Amino acid sequence: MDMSRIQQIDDYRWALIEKPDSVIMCGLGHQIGCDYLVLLAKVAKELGIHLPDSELACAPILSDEGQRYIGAMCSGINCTLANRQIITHLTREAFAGVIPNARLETLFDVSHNTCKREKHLLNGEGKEIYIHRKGATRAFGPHHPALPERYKNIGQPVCIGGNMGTGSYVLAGNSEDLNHAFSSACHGV
Amino acid sequence: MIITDENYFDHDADIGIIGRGNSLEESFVDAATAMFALMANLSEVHPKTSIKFEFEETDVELAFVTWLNSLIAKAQADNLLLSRFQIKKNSNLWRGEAQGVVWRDDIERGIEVKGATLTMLSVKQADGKWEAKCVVDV
Repeated sequence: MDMSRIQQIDDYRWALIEKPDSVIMCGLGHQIGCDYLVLLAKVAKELGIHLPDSELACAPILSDEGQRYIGAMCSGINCTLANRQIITHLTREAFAGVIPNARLETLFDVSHNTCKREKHLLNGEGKEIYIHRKGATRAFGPHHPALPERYKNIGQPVCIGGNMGTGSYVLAGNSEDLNHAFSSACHGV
Repeated sequence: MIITDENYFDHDADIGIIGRGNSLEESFVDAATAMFALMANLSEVHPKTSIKFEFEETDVELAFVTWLNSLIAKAQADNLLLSRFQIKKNSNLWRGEAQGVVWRDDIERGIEVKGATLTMLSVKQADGKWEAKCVVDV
């Protein structure tokens, strides 16, 4: 978690934030990845799928193993969503003891390093596809149906966390025809 | 086991580890030692606690990754720095043990290893010596 201050607003939709002092991250993703890499490596071998690198272990998405992995991954995402709710609550409690009138509003909550089933334009045709984002988050542009009403005209808030040597950024997603990465943005500097 | 630069190789933003030994199990132990040696100076660790676990795996390469990841999971669960390792293979059953200490403020932390990957994974025997290697995520 980091506490930052808005340093500069270059556009009403995005801002540069002073560098954070510390960031704490936690999740089940890595454990799920470790467990299923071994399982999927075996499935790939059984199916005769050639892997240029064993780390590219895979299985057909509709196979039993593929569905189990999707289920485990979604469970992990749900866990982190609940975890962030708890962190937010505890943060508000901590602030209440120091700055009683502080208003801590959730700008947006999005997970990174996930695989999501989404509809995107491929060769001009809308298709349901699985988007695997690594080191990235979703960044829907304006008017996307999945966006809450308050962001419909602006686009999804995109928070790019910085490190000890840079600032952080609050941006907004671009419309699909301007974003060639299936509405994705990096999740950190 | 003495860990040297020969126990490591570069790989992009992560680190490759290599374990060697006269037996398959020795190479696994050597690799585990090399992995935890990234986290701290193990020569200063005097073990006070131990962990045990077992798993089934027929593929020796996947067993290697499972061995390393089981050690990391157990260590993280109990906030341990492990420094001594043993493993025994009986058919497809692997029994592992490790000893170490609970992390303390006076132990200087090195690189955090998040897990062993399947990248560059290899377990092989050549000229009577076993070598087990993979890239670990740091």
